[in-house]
Amino acid sequence: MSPRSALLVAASLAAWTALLAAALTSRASVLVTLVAGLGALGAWHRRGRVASLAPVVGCVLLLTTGTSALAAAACGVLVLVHVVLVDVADEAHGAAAAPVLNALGVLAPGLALAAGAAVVVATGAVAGDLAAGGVPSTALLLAAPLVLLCAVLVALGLATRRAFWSYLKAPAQVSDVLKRYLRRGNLRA
Amino acid sequence: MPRWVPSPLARRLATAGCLSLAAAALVQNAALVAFGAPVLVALAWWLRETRATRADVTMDLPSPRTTERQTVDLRVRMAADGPVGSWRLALRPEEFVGNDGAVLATLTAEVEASWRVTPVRWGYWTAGTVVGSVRSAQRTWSADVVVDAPSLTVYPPASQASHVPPPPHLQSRLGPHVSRAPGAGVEFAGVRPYLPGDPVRRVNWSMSSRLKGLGSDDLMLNEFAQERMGDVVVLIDSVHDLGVPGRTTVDESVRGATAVVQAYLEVADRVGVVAFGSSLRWLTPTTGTRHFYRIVETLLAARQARTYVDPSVDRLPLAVLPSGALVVCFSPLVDALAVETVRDLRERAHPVVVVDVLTETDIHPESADDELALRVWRLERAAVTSSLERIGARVVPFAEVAEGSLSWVRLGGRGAGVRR
Repeated sequence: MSPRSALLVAASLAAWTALLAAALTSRASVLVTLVAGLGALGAWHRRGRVASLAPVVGCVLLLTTGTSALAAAACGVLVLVHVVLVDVADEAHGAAAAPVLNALGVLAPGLALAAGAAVVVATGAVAGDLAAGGVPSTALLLAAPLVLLCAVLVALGLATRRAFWSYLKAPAQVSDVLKRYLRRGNLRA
Repeated sequence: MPRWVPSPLARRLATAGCLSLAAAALVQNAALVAFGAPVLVALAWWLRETRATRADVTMDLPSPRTTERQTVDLRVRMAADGPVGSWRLALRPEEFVGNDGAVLATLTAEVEASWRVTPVRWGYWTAGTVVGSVRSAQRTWSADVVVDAPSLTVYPPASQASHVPPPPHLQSRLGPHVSRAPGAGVEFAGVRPYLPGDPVRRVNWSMSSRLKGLGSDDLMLNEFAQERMGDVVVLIDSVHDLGVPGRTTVDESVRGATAVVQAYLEVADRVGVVAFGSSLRWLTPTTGTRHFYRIVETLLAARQARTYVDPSVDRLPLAVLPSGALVVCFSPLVDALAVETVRDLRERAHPVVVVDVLTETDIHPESADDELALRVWRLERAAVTSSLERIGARVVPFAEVAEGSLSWVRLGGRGAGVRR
């Protein structure tokens, strides 16, 4: 998977999570969620920048009848993550992983942490609605802190070892010297 | 560094935030305020970032000179003196200088790009305009850096002639062409009886011994042909520039003239040039590679600076048109000045070849009147051509010149000119 595809997958996941959370706390039609979710896929097209605003419009339409301000705030954070990732993906066409990590370097820790927190908050906010609908919300409530923990770890990793990650290339591009160094077991030592 | 403006990302985030706040005000729902708040807070935070104040642009063109259809590589490097999120580089092409159209987007702090630039028309051009779009580190600000690419002098294509016909009149100077007159050359011309004072080393001993066997005591001497230099003067008529850009009469004239100049200079003839029409410019005939570039620079100026001075060949210094020099005139033959000039040159006994650079392409008469006008126009041109041929000038269409060989320069009969 290319860095651009990875960014777009992450952006789409953020958009769909935001739309799902908004739909669960709203009384609006499910059709709005579906249309906005499909619109979010427009970002895969290189000229689909306007389509990246589809989740924003979808969430606004859904939240006009929303009841939970906490869930709405979480949706806002996830939409923010979606828009930023689509913007980076626009310029990551054909780029290698290292420059993408460099570009995300300043933003990535904050985004990872915010996204994790937003997922936890959104899960907590919609747990009641999920339970009423027969969905096993307990599992979700248990999984949400794990998502937050992962997000914290990723954020810390990006913030502290960013330079090292940027330096590492794809395995096929590792130099012969480094290969010999790894083969001798120095990495384990 | 040019002015920083909010980037597309900032505009999208602002749109999202404002949309949610407007919707909140419309439907009186606090959830929408909570939705827009993180977006607007993040945007406000990111907009406070520090930005670069200066961008360094380095451009490298291997040579500022090239020929038509020849590709050159343009390298551009841009770097900012502050934190930068990404660069996007593109080369905006000029009208007659194309490029491979590559757009380089990179997420690094500095960028280096290269383009293959291909000029399609001779003249003085720039390689294009380099447009660099830069984003700030947090991507909420963007700026454009626009720089003109280096200038490019584009020469007409090189001559493809494999054989260069000698001019009808050869001068007395030593040169590359074999003349009819006997002299000190290397080309065998014949034998004659030995005369007192002749060099003994040129005696044809085998022939003399055969003659002695037949009873003759005469010694026979080898004769060699003289090797002389020719003078060629190229005339460009740029009074009118007709046709589509890139294939105009002046464009074709300069292409043909360059081929003639290069071919004759390569065989070490003396070549001069006279450009009349826009202004009267000339170069006295001489030899050498440096002179070739001087001539081409003169030809490239044929399209520029118009003056009101009557561009008559009477104003030329005598040395510009040496006696007996072959004159090759490139003209569309639509102006009386060109015809009179050719007539004048023939009266001075110059052998003259006129290249008619006006080609009829895409002429579609729409009515009977148009058809009649076209026929009359063609008859008039045929009359002009006929009148030139009557006075001994040879008129050739440009299609023959475009084939690449110089066989059309060969003159015979009256066209070779008779010096009075």
